[in-house]
Amino acid sequence: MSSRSAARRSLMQPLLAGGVLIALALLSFGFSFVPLRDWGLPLALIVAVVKAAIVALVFMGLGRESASVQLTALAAVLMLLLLAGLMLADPLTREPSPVHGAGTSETRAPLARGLPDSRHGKQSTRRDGASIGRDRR
Amino acid sequence: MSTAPARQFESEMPQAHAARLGMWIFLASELLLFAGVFALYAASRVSMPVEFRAGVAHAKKSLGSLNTVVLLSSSTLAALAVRALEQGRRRICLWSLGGTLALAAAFLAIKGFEYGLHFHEGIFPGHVRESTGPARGSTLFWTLYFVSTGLHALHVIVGCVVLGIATWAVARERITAERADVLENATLYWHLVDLIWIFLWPLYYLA
Repeated sequence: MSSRSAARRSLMQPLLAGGVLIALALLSFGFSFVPLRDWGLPLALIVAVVKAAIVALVFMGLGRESASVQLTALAAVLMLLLLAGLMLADPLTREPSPVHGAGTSETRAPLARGLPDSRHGKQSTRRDGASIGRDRR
Repeated sequence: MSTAPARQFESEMPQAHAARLGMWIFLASELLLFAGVFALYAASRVSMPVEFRAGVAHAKKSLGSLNTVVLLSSSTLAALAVRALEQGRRRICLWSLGGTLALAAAFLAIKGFEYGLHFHEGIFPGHVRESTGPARGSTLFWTLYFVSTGLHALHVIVGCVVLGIATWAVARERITAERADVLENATLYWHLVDLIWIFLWPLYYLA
């Protein structure tokens, strides 16, 4: 720790990094007006990851920290990705099921299967006509 | 501030490392707190893409983007403050910390104004007025929005308190250039707050 303090890090570095961050933010803002269809969110998140890396490495100094600190940060990120990934695996692997009276042009979300339709007061049904209760699972 | 290490440490180096590791473990736990919210957003967006896109389209993009620039700037000044203190430039450090706190207050003011606009439109956590055109059917989106940004705003407030105490300590020379790592630990929390918003912004405002 004291050796890093003695290195007298430059004052310009955080200012340059801040400039790059704001430029990337403006880039993201500009992209949001371009009709990118399904690529809008992935592109915005890629820019966000780049900005996060700049904050972590330059502002937080993660690159200069000890291995134990770096592993702690890495473990947190991996746990986040694991949690999000496992939660995504559920809706992504279900078959979408059309629901009678759905108001959207796309099929109703799989998570809605088995829940009462609050607009019509009916329960969802399977294709064979059998009703699906909340305790189906 | 005394530079003698605590009794359980042989010297300052292990004490400083322990403090830094402890701070990062705390930051990791805070990241996992938001991980649940992010994961819920991801699963919900896959399940209800139309409602979520409608919610994003209705969000106040200009205010959210302004807040992003504000927070990135505040993080820049916080990092500058640490570098300045390391070099013994206390005046620059204090001005940078003051700027960080001012921008944090601006972020909260903008966020509060934005919430007021949503309430005026009939958009509340857990309830969206049916007459609200683009937000119809997006109750889950807006509930997640208020939970995510509200939790983040709470962290901003805590960050203000932490940085406020650090600023006072630097002003009173309780934290000096020899112990700049103490200030750096305090600013780490602020950078995490910035990191969280870097991902909240595209999810709720951009796409």
